[in-house]
Amino acid sequence: MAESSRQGILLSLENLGRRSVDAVEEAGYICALLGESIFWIFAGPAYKQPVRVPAVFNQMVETGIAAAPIVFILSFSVGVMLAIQGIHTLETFGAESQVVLGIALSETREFGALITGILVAGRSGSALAARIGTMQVNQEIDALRVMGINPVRYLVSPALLAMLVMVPALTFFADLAGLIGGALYCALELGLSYSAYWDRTIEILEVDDVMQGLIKSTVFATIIALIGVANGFAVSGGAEGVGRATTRAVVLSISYIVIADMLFTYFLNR
Amino acid sequence: MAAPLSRTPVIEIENLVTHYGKRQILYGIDLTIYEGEIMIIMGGSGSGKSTLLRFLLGLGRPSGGSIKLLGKDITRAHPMEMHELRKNMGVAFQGGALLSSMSVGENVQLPLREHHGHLDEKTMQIMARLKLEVVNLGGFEDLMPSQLSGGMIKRAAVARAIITDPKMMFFDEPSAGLDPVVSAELDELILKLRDAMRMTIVVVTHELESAFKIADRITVLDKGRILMTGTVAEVKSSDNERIQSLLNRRPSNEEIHADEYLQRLTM
Repeated sequence: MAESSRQGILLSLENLGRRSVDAVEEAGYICALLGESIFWIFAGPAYKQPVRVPAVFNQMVETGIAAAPIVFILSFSVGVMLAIQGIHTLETFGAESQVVLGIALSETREFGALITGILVAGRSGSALAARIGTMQVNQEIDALRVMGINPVRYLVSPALLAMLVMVPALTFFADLAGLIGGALYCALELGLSYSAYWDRTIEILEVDDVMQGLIKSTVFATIIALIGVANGFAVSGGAEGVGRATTRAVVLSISYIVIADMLFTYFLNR
Repeated sequence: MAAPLSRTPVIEIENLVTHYGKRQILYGIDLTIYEGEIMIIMGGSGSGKSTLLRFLLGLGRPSGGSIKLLGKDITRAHPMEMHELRKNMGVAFQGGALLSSMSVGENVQLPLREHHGHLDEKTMQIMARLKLEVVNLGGFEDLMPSQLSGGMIKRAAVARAIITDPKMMFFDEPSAGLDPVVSAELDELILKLRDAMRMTIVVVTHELESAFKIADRITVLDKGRILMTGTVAEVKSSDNERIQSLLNRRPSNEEIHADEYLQRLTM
């Protein structure tokens, strides 16, 4: 009995060790991907292998423009929810009018970037992992290599650039949508005029508040792009492998986004 | 089959060795392939032929030995040297490996856009159309790969591979999954590439009929070793039991354990 429990503990420790080594390996691989992507963005033209602008533009449309309606709907809803909760909480102190402060800061510092990050991870991060994974299974990545086309330059750099431009842009758009949602509910519930709401919002918000969200969003963009492509490149085992990689990319991206958000919030608000 | 057109070596493999984990996959492969020659690499599953092809394509680094393509050792080449060398390499993968997000014409033009970006759009379109006509796919430029049959995809992949007029062409199982008529058409195409464009061609296959039809020489691999390299007649008349088993499709009585089988497949 004692021997079997000792074996069980050893097995668990071995598994833990193996998973830790895998995690460190994967982190190293992701850092290498980031380094190589940045290398091709800046040094590509010098080697006559530039990152193709149309590819970046296509990714920007897929990641950003196509996601705008759903980002608006979700952020608008979050804005309304913040207003509902804020008014309900502040009623206790008879300070309902201060709800504008809560909505403005929460939306710009937190929810705009977070909702956008989660949405883009689920939408574009998964698509990226699935696309590259399918290319891997179909030997398209090998075909690119053999044609002398570096897959990181061709696939990763455009995706990373597009994310770095579009996720902050979507975050700013989400901030506006959330504030509009808040304004609408405040007008209905508190009878606060739109002009008064916007005047108060502009009075409260500082550039740093908006920048806090935008800086976070660039980190989220990097996380989504790199985790998506890393999981795509790691695909093996056909269609099942593509499905597994896609799910893993989404779960990991959202997890890292939330953890990164927590760390940012802690350090930026101390 | 025609004899090799020249004795100028284009591909030189010396003492190529590789391991997967503790298991050795290739055991000191030595092989020279000459200009204008069609070399068939044959062998059963797990013989190491796909691994050898990956190394020839520069898609992996062997544990030891050297592979010289056009005189350049690709096992030690700088990535930029490989980039230059790849302009002289064309590959038709087993499944074609056309980029599914692009039309047939865009796929064929892709190497031109990457390596000859100075060419204008019209020139690239004309060149792609010409190469598609070489593989009997003229007029298919605007179709997507998903709209093509298996044989058409493979021919489109050949058109993409030859768009830069490479000196070396590699085929991975060109006949796999094709009916006999389409397979015969592909064989004719391979011969045409050798005769018209003087390409050096390496074909990895286990299709005997196709191999005998197009080969200048055949290399037979078994368990990571070369059993023999010779002309079709030499291979057919070999008294090696393993070769005769392969040629006569006799079932092997060899027992293989599951873990060994999986390790072989992994490579």
